[in-house]
Amino acid sequence: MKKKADYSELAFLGAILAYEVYYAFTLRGVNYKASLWPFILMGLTSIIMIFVAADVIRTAKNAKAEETSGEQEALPSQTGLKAFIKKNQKVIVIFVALLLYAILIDYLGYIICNFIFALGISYYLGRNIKKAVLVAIVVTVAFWLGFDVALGVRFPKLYWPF
Amino acid sequence: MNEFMQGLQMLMDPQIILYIFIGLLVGLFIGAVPGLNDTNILTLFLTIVPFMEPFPAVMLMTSLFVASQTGGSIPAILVNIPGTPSTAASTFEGFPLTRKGLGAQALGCSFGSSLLGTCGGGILALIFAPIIGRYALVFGPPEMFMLALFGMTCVAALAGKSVKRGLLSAVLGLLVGTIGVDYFIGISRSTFGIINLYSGVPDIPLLLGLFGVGELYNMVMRNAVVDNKSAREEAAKRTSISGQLEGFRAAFKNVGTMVMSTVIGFVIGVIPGTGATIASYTCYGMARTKSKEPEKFGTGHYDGLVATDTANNSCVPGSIVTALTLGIPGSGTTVLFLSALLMHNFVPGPTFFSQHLVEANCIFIIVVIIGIFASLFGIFAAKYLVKVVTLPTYILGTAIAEFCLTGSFICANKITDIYIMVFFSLISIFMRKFGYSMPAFLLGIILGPIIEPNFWRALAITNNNYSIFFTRPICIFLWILIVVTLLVPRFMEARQKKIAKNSQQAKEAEILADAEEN
Repeated sequence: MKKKADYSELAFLGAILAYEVYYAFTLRGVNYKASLWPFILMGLTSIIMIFVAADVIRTAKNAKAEETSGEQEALPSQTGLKAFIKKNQKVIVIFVALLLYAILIDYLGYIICNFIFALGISYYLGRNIKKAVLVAIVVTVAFWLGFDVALGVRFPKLYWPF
Repeated sequence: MNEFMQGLQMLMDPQIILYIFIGLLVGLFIGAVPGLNDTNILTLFLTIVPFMEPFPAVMLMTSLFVASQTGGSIPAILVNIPGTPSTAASTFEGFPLTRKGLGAQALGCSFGSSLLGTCGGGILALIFAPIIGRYALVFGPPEMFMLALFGMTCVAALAGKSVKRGLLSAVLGLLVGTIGVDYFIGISRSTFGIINLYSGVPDIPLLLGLFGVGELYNMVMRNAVVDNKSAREEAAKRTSISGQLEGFRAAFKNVGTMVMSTVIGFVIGVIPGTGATIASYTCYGMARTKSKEPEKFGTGHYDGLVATDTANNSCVPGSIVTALTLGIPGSGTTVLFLSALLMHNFVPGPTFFSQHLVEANCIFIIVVIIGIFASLFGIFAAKYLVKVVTLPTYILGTAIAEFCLTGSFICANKITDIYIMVFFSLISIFMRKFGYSMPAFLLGIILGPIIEPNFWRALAITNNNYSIFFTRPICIFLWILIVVTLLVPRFMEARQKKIAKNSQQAKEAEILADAEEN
């Protein structure tokens, strides 16, 4: 199996380590009953991360050696931020859409936010505006009827300052 | 026996049958909707219950409680989103089966397992309820700590291909489980000042982020739920009842796992504060330990699905036993169930069975009846349900995203929960990309809040005497189980390697002997 040298997992491990440093910092001076268990877990996590990091580096070095040995075809260059964004474009768009939904629901209200979100996502995934509008209407109405009307759940309303 | 027959007679009333049917349908539907669960629906029905007659009210609440467990497996299997937190374990084997185009079979297997789990649990409750209730209180903090520790041995079953990454996932899960206000001192740990996190990471947004939105990302990248075109065509063809019945029969081929999971799920349900999630994980780990094909777990193995779905259904009658005999609610759902009883002067406790034996028998008979009808109804409905996986991505993806957003919001009516869901969906992207086990991560989050406080409570009640974990009978039994669970797979593996080596040597010797003869 052709593998590229991939060190991106080290960034993920680095993020976990950064979180641990922050957590440890916030537990300074705290009674041992509250801090012992988290410190034990952070210690265990750090130890296991060393082994995982070693694994990642070893795998990446082997992949690099295969690339440069000339025994296999050189893969086209797919590194860099542009390539990453292109490869994961759909995921990034949905992630950003979910964040925007969370930010805007307090201002636009549940129904409008739901409609815009459903319209945007179904158009982005289906590339057909008529079908997207239909899906958005059906989904918005179904959720409003099911949760707001039938179950009586209170959702944010459109913010109107006047 | 007289009381049993009287109970049956009372259940034959058309009004009671109607309420049971309503509870069955609503419970199945609510369980199948991600974001809604048995707690939501019992809360809603508590507003109606005071205006009903006592006996129909109790029967309705029991039906809702039991049916929602069966319904929760449906989205877990079809789209990898647990309908209720306790059905998260159904995704391990159920969804891989759907991706192979065997969604109908997976649903059939789930309903068959739910049938035996619920009926088996109900029968165990009918027989043992008056006795078992007494022993539920024997489980103190040391036993709870050991039980959670035993649950962690399931990590071996959930680690996936990379044991290191599986272990890291589990320990990270335990670390995330410490988020919130500490149990003894009252300081907040890693809450970032967010009030929603003071009682820990909320489980519904967590599940929806890890599994729901996480799977949505996967689905949009693949542009389908089912993996390849031929499997999708197969899934579209096999929507007749034969697919479900095939899965139903496959469930009953794993009778040993079913019986084991029924008993263990029921016993764990009896213990207050545990719940169906722990039962399903524990039984999954044990099924893998005793299986002859442990390497197939995680790839769509019926045995694993049978273990999880039987356990999470048999847990419900167990939790009802403790609630009725001791008046101790083991979970939020049983609190609501008990509230409904108290509203109508059915006071749970040690005298419940002597004062209301007929009603108690009726409750457990309902459990068995709902188990049968929920599974049968599910078998016939699965024909339509399985078509969900063949919907185009722009419809299914939009619906899943909306369910996840709405489901995250409604559990506490806070927008912060939506942010928590989005954050964990981001975590799930990286965990999937780098091969970290999300089931192991989830197991750590569930068991962490049980391990830590019970450890300190056990030391507090014994004046810091650590020997309590090694001298109490149930603790000793659980230590033995932990050792067996960890060592038996290694022993079996070593034995199989030895057998393979011996047979290889025998073959080589035979070849040499043939060569010499010639």
